[in-house]
Amino acid sequence: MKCFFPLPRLLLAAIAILPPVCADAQALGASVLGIPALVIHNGGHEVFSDGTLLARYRLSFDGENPNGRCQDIQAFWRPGSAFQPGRRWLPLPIRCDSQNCEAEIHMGGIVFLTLLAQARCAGIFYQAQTIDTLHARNFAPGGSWAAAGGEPASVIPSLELIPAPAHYYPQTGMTFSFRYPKAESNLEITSNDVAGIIDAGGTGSNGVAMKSGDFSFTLSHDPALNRQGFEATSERIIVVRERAVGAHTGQVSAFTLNVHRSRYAFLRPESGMALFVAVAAVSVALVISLKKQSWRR
Amino acid sequence: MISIWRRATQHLAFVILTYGGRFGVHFDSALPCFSCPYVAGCSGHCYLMALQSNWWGLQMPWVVLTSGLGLQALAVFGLFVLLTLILGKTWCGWICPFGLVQDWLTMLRQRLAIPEARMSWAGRDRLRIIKYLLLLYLTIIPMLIAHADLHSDFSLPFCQICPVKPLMPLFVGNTAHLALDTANTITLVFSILSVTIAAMMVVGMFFKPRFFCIFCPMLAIIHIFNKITPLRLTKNPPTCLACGNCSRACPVDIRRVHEDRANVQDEDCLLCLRCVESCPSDRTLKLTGFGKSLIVSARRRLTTDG
Repeated sequence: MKCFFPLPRLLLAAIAILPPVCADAQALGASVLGIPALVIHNGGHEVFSDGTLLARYRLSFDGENPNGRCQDIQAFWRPGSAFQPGRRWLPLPIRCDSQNCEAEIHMGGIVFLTLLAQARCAGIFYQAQTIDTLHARNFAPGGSWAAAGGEPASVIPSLELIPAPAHYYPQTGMTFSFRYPKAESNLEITSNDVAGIIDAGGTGSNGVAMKSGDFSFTLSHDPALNRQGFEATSERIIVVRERAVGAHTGQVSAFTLNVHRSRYAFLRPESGMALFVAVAAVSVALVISLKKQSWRR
Repeated sequence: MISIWRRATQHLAFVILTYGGRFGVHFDSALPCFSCPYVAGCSGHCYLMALQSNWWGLQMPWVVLTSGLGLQALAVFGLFVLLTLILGKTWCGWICPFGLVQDWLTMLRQRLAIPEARMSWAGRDRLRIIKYLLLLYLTIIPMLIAHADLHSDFSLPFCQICPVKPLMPLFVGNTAHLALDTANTITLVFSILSVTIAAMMVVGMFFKPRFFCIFCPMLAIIHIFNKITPLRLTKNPPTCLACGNCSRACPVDIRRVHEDRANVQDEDCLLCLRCVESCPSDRTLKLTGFGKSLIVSARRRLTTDG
């Protein structure tokens, strides 16, 4: 394990309060999806001077532009998580050219949303999802939200992210639980994260076939992400391939999680308390040593 | 009697500001006192946080100031100015939750019969500049993040070293801010500074009343508005007995109140009114509001209060 802040560590070690402070991080592997997948990438957020926010999303298929390789490319979004009752998928215009396939959401207010894209490539059905939180800085919703009066679409996500409050701010170290409704399917699950994928039976690891449709995925920490600011994110993609059986051609679902570094995993409360007590003791000693000079009641 | 009222007000303000959010009380982020946003369930945030936050970081200065975003920033600033103008330094002496924590430490020291530490006038005068330097620091760093690509882990630069951040959340059972954050070098250095400063401040506040107020940048901001706030501490020099009770009672060692001048409100004054309470001369020291006497010194008060 490589420690990337030697000077502060030496300082702390000098006062003997330093348990291992290097993040217990695992290096992220390269993008080793192995399975061609349709993926939604976060293209960044831009806040305008009126406080509204423009969120850009890009689609890729097997790491390249899906335009020309896939047909029936569609995108949808909905506020909240994909499976909150009473929320409907709304069509999201998607622009494809020779360079990219992109979609934009422009709105105000603060919104947690789910995006879904689907396409048919080489005869196989592909679906991609992601979650995002838009922090616009004006008071009222508007933009895409106001324009979302179109007919809700009938969309069935093939891969379910089981909602949890923490999804509002995804962080490394967090566990995400998924459900693939066709539990009897023969699934192959992989991701670009080295963390293990655990199925409902408590077994499994990255890139292996699973029978169960329920699995969880604990995101590994990333030293490179830690070194960036708290706003930086790292893209983790999980891909589920339902294998072709007989006449069924199978399908591939991908879920993109843009995760921040963990807020809590790198906190060392014992070290902090020890430092607090040590500094307080030294300060008290200093005050007492100055006592002889001048005091008053 | 003034002390009793002040203590009651401080405790009420502490409960409302620290726990009020749990009961739906919200004062936004414009409070001129240390109601710390890191306290889960607090009812309002210290204005210093708004001052440091990114949207006040002037990423697009001219556009922002003429937009909804600018209006939002100006609304919070306007509310802060309004609150500051109405109550002035009484935010420090009568309302600030961290001020009460300091007073608790002083009371504990007095219970233990440990004498107060003395600070030389010269030493104290030298330290005064620190609050203005901190004010400069907390306004410049966000601008550097916005314009000079300074690492975003420098955001909220004052909060990251403020002793209030690790200490006030303890009142809601949260010790997380006393931890060292080892995510990267910047967070580690900031958390070491934060814990170190907090420990030094606790000791300082124990031995010296209102020790943190010497360094408080909020006090510096409030003082900027001092000339136009209607609440004033004034003195009638001809009736002063020059007994020195006022400066001895002052928790922040202000000498000016003992001098022969009408305007005795020093930049460090917290308007705690201990001087008024301890003055043995009738109507010599008084708190005025809009030109009218609100609280005046009185021999009777001194004798009845013991």
